[in-house]
Amino acid sequence: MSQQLVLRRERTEGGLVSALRALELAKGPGSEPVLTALRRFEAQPAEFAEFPEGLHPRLREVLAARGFSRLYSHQRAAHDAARAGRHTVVVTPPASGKTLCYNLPVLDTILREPDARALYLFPTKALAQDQLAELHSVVEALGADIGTFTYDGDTPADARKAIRARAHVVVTNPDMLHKGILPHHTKWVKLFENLRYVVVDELHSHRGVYGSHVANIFRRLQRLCRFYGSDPQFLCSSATIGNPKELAEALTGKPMAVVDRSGAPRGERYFAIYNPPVVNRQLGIRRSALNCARDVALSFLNKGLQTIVFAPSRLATEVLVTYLKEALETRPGSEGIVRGYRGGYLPLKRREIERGLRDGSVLGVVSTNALELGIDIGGLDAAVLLGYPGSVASTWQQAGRAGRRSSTSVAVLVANSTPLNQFVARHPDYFFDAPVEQGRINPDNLHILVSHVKCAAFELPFGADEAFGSENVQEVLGFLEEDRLVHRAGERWHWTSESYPADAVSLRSVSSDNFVVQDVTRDPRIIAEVDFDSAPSMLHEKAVYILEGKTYFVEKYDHAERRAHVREAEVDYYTDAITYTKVRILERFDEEDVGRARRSHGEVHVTSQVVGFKKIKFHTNENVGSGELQMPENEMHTSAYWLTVPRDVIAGLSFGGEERRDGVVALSYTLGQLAALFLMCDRHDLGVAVGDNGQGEARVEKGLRKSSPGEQPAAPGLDYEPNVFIYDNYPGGIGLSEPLYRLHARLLAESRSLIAACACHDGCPSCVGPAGEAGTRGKEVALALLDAILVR
Amino acid sequence: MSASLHDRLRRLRRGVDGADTPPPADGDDLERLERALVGAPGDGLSLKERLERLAAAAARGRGPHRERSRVAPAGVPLEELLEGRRVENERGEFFLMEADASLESFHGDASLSRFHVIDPGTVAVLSGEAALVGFDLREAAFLDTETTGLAGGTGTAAFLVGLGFVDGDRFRVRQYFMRDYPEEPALLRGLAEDLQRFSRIVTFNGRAFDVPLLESRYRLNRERFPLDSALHLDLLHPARRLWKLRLESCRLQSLETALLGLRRHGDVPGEEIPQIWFDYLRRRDGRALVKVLEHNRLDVVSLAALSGLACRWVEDGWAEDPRDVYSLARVLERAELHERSEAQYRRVAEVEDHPLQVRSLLRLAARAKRCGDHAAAVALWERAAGEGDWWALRELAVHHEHRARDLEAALAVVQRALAQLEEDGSPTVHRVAADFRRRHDRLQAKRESRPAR
Repeated sequence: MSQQLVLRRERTEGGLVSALRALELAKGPGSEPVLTALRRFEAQPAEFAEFPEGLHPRLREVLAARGFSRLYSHQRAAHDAARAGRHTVVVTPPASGKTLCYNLPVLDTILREPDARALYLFPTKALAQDQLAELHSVVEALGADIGTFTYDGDTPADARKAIRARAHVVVTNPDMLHKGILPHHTKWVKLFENLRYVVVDELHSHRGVYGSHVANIFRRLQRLCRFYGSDPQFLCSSATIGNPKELAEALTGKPMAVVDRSGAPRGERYFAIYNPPVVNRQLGIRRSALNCARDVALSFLNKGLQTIVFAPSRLATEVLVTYLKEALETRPGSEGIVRGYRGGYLPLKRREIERGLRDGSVLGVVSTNALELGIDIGGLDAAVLLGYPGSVASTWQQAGRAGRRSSTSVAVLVANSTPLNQFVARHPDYFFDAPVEQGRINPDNLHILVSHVKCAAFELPFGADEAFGSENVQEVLGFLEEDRLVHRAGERWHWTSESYPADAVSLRSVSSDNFVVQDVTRDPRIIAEVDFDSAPSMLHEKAVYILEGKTYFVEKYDHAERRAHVREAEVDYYTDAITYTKVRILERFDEEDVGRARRSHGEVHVTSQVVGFKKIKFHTNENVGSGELQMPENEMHTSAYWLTVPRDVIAGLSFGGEERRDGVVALSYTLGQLAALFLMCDRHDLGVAVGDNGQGEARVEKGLRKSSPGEQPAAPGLDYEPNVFIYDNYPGGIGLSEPLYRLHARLLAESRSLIAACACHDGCPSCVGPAGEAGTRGKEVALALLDAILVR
Repeated sequence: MSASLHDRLRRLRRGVDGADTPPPADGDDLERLERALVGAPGDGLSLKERLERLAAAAARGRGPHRERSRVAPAGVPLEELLEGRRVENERGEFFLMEADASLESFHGDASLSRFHVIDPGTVAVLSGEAALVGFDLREAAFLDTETTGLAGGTGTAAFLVGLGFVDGDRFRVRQYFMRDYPEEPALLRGLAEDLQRFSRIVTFNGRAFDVPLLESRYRLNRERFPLDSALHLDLLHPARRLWKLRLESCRLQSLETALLGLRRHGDVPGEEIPQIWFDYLRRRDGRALVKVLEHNRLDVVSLAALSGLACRWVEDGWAEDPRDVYSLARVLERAELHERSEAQYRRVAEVEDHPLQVRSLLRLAARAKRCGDHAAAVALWERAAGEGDWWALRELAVHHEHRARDLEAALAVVQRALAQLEEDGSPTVHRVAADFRRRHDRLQAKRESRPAR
């Protein structure tokens, strides 16, 4: 409450409008407007509905005691659909009370039938914790004996048995279900025999390869339920997504009732796009987006408006926290009114920040997209998005964090200088009119399907007439029998291998091996965790590690022990790591000349390595030094498809060396986008890299060099022979490259049509990537390149 | 497009895949995009064809093509190799083998005749579990399973269960075997029927492995689990307590070699067993299985013999090696048989220059302290301190300072400790030295504040 002494809360329309006006005034005289768009969205009144007639009286009392005299219309609709036995998916804005949509029917059922069980699935442990706390408090108020427990990798071994016996509601995640619960279903007899509801929260995050895995896990779950004689209903909830019904049905294999009309009230909302002013007209340099985001946030915070800032990276998050703390935490008692929030903060700290946001003791928070998901922080006055989050859905989701029920709120997207951001800033209509992305999965991808058929056979023998998804599983089993993994005896297929197949199937590419950050300034203590993939770039020696605005110097990076030692240090700069990615061909499975280019697929070795860092001064962003590093390589063995443009073809183009390379980069953008589309996977399931056969050994591929801004890779040589790699972004590969190899001709033909048909002048996010990202003539060269290749 | 499936597959393998290349781009792009989106990546190929590709890709990854001979060489049916019989019950049929031997006959250097003289209270002492009092090995079933793997989970089955028990003056081993998966329900039913007359079972690591695995199999086959209320001696844990200080490994077969002097000839290694059964499923050749059955039978008999040995060990204090004596003392101490335990500790305390000598002295001292015999405790600590043990010095310092309230004696001990630790100088003693230094300063201060009498 202390900040209220410092800053008077002024949550009125006038406050926001004057804050926005101040932004406009900040621009230099005569320059283009900084607010390139300002959209207003009407307030929506609440639509209420009475509690359902049959609702358990105890539940109604408890809800009434918590101030719910009635329900929002969507909560009632969801409850009615669930109680009528329908599988449902609820799609309503953030903070509209989605949780109650499933808690209501679940608790109502358990109160009546104490044997009934429910399984709650959240994509992350943090979300599970959050929801469990909420559920606990309701159950406690009910005074009923309803066991609610999380069961995940962190659950202590000695607690597991009790949970299996006592839990009415088991809160877990798909990974644990896959590896820990389904393969041990005989220990969960009570759960499976009485399973009434499967709650799937954050449905939209179950897409791409991950979603395809989850769909198969649900098939396995439903098989086991049939064995135990239960037939659970799926209750899903989702953030905004283009095709909630289709995705939910593909995931669960069940017909879905959709509840998408929110009855929650929404105050009036504004959405503004802010393009930092040009500071150097000759060079076209704009003011730093980070500094602008700071100013925009301060203009709200200084008026006492609760504000969330979304930053694109952990580093940017910490830099912004530092700035905002400097500006706001100046008076005694004001410490802690600005907080940072990102993956890596210890759970207790996160809970504390979430609570602070709800009760108002935290005025401003800077977060990565970690707060984009459904963690309950209430509605805030303003959201500032530092940079376009990359998808329409994420943008609305982040903007939706600002949204009071009865007063005005605002979201400001601060564009940075990358072409994609500039495109959005200059073509706001492109953004406002764009449909929200669709969630796509392909559960019958053969690699994924076969993996899960193995797991399913391990869990329970397959019947000779049993189905599994839409493919003919009997043929798959016949195939597995040839490898002696299953054995048909009588009318059943039995698992005949010593292995535990679920261990061989990883649902996500990320390793769960976290690094801990140990502060050794005084008695050593752990202050944060960093995920495996980010550790080399955040915790390399001589890095400045920032945690909630405090700077630490990294003294030691211990890869083997997954640990870094840091020491408090007052420095006026931060560090930014330089990473290289390299793709090396290990083996070609198939290779063929098609037209004037070559297609191949095979096994590759993808290496990324932090090779150095830059020191960047706070506030001025001056580069004040750099260093080289010898960091361990992050390696991945995976499969890839690649297109090779022969030397003579590329040399025959009438463009300069760098333009040619830009054209290849532009083409790789289009190929990557279309490949994801054709394969029905998420764009992040695929990695795209450009290599060069002409460098050194003919078969050693140099990868796309991800250099920091300002650095230019060397110009390509005369013998430039580029490869465009599209690889499975999962260790071991998941079988996307072989279908791509077959789709090669279509991929190129469609890419050509797409680029040729695009109305933009020199590239946009819809074709070869935003203008400028691949040079100035990228689009032109890409098209010429395709024409040269496609000649028969 | 009239190429046969065979041709198309061959073309695919050669990588000359033209059949599914669409015509060059023309027509409505949007429509084609739509088609690309809706069409599965299978691209018109049948599931079988796609599976073949998958196999081909996998084989390429592995190197040379794996032999997948489906023609089995003529094998010898198990029934011709072993004396056994088909047993039928409501759930079907399984294969049962029986063997027995006199309790007097030798298994290695040991026989089971000792079973008759073991005190029924000994198992409770051995296991440290009061519930096992009155556990007569002559009324117990000795159980060991052979499984399709060690991974656990519902995909691991027990294809062979060996059950040993005393029947008059004979030790009988029954082996319940399934010749294929469909026999599992009958096997489980038959086993359950025989287990009815036993309320006690003995296993080796059964608590963690065999019993939960069987429970899972009973659940999967919708049969009642017969061991829900059985008393269970899992010999692994007492065996570790008794012998792990001396023996490198406490696996059943290491114990039987070290303690029973048994050498198996031509025994099949445990890790090969699952594959032998899997091979049997496909080839129906019983020859390799004979060894598995013998392996299981020996395991059951060894389990019984080792149970008897462990009991006698506890009853008679058979241990000779100081490590075993010390372990035995610990087991007795755990069972609160202090007199017998101290007698064993004293044996070790007399062995000069043995690493366990000091530990035994400290154990005895701790016991004396707990019994209020401080003089004895001090004497024992002095002996241990004489061997250079700093923990004993610490105990002495505490005793002199707080119990005897003799500051001078306490200071002398502390100074002795510091001198000794300084000599040592290893980094591990750093904390210990710091502790003594604090103690030293405190004692100094106390002495100064209290004028000498």
